[in-house]
Amino acid sequence: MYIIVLGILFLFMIVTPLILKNLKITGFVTIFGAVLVLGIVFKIITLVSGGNPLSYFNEFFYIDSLSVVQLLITASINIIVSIYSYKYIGNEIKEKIISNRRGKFYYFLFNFFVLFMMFIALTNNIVAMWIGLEGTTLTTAFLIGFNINKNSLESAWKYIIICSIGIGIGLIGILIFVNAYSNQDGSDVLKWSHLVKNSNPQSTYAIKIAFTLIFVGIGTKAGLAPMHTWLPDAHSEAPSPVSAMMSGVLLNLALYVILRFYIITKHIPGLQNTKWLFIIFGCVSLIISSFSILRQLNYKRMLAFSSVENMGIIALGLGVGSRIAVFGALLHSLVHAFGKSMLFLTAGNILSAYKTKRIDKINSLIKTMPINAVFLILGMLVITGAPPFPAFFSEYYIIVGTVETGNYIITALYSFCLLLVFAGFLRVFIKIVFNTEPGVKYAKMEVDKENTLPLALCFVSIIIMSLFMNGYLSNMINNAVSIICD
Amino acid sequence: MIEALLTIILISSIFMSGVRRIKLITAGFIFQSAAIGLIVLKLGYETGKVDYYILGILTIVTKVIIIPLIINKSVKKLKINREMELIVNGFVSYIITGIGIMIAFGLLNKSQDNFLKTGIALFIIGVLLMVARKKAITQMIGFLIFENGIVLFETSLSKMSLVIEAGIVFEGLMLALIMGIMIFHINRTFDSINTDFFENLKE
Repeated sequence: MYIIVLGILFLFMIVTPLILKNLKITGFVTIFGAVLVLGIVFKIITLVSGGNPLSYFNEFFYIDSLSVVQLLITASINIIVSIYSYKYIGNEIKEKIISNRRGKFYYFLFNFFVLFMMFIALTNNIVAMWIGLEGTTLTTAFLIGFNINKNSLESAWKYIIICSIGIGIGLIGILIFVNAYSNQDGSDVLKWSHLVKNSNPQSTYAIKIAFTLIFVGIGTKAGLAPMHTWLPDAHSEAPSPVSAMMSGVLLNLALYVILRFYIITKHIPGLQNTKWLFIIFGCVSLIISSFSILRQLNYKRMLAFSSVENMGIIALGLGVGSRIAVFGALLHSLVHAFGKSMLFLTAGNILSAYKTKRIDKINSLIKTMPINAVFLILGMLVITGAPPFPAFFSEYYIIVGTVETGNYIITALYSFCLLLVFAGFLRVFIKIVFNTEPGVKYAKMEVDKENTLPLALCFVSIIIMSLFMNGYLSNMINNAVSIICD
Repeated sequence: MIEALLTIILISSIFMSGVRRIKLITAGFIFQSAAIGLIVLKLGYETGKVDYYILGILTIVTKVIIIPLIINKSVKKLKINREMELIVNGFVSYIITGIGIMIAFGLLNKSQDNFLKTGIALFIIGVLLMVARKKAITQMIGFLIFENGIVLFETSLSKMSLVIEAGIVFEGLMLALIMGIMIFHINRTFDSINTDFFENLKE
């Protein structure tokens, strides 16, 4: 029932930009649709909150507490980004950077992109999850190359080549994975909910190879470290709302697909070592990204590397595997989605005012764009895990998890990388916000007030999250944790 | 019959891995895709499943007719004929291809499933073309070879419903189409489709 309503809503949102000429109405329809989607997601959350999963259409769609977390992230970031896009696209058209036709194309692709992401979170079929991921590659390729110029085309081509190889390797892994269960009934073997209950494959060796291929392949899409090379280019060249959406939601969902396979393999005796894949790739991501953050000259690139770092944190938390660490990882994926979207959207505002991505060209933001400067500092505090914000607790829980399981080297490495990231962020943002060059007079810019509502929404959501941490939120995440850990 | 077709697939992929002329690579690709389409149709004839027929017809229509047409048209339009400097030259590519095929058939020598082995060989050759060539259009053909490997792999392992299988094939084709459109944009912006010019984005 809810699935059908969601489907009709998305169909409506996708068709609107194709038939309507007026972009303003299209923007409103997108925002309105996003609000309705969030409403449905809240309804689903209340239905699932007891801990009983829902399933529709012969278990093709299956919603448990783990998918609810992803649904919540997707739907709420979708609202924020569609509100931002409304003014962003309007502005671009007013400045004659893009034509009206490309504006329509933007909304068409954007809604398709969100549809595929919701589909990944909702579906129960393991191959359909892959289809959803591939669908996000299809739609975001043009969104990354949206401002057709040399840099964006280069990054889009890189993205397509690297991600399609990665996703292809993931599919090979999934096919081997399915084949290892050829002793079971053909119609059930693709269902995650079936596999997780009956995990006695024909050969555990095949599962081991398959899971490694899946991890490496889909890990490319999740931006884990040695495979992350497309990510800084793509996230820095894409339009800011798209970067926010990709960094906050898409990376999470790719990791979620890996996690679904991990939950199946965890139940197979003799395959406990697969958790080290998460831990090692997480640590490598942390190290590479924290050192890269220190030497960036482009602020959007720096934010992109910070996404790699946060994916590393989440992967590490999932790999450590004690209850508290997994709780921290899931909480961190929520906080990171909001915090990183806020930072990317603020960066988008700064970019449209200054027309440059270079850090050394921007000074004294507190005088020229005070509202955005405040949001920039707040976003930085959220994403680096400063105490009053929930990111502090999530990162702390993961530290506790590593100590609890006795991985002291990882504890040290992790804390060191977090410190490095904090230092790198502070250096850049203090310079951007407070540095004054002698002899230059800084006047307040008029554009400062534009498009600040989505930033405020992000921040309010983070505050709400910290207030309700002990109530609904922790209940929801705890249910998800028991799916992973038990 | 099927053995002969698999041989055609392997020979055409060895051929494609070393030649420089894009027209010749496209011709090799046509042969390969036709062979794969025929294999899938033959399987459909043997097992009587509708899935195989649809998959085979889809493969033949898109990969033997539509995509080569598009490639040839754009080759004419973009006035490119051959790869000038290769990252890995033709001779070494042949050797790597040979080693790849040896690895694929050697690793799985216990398995009776020739589809699986050929599929893995195609993955290796496709990725080789994607990383060792500079022209964007050759990289796209490399991806299509990879995609062919996936089709073979799927037919050997699959127990999926038709919708899912069609979804996989369809998305591969969409990706090829998107690559084609992007090549067109790249050619217009850079006045070339050499990926050598992709050096703006560095630290």
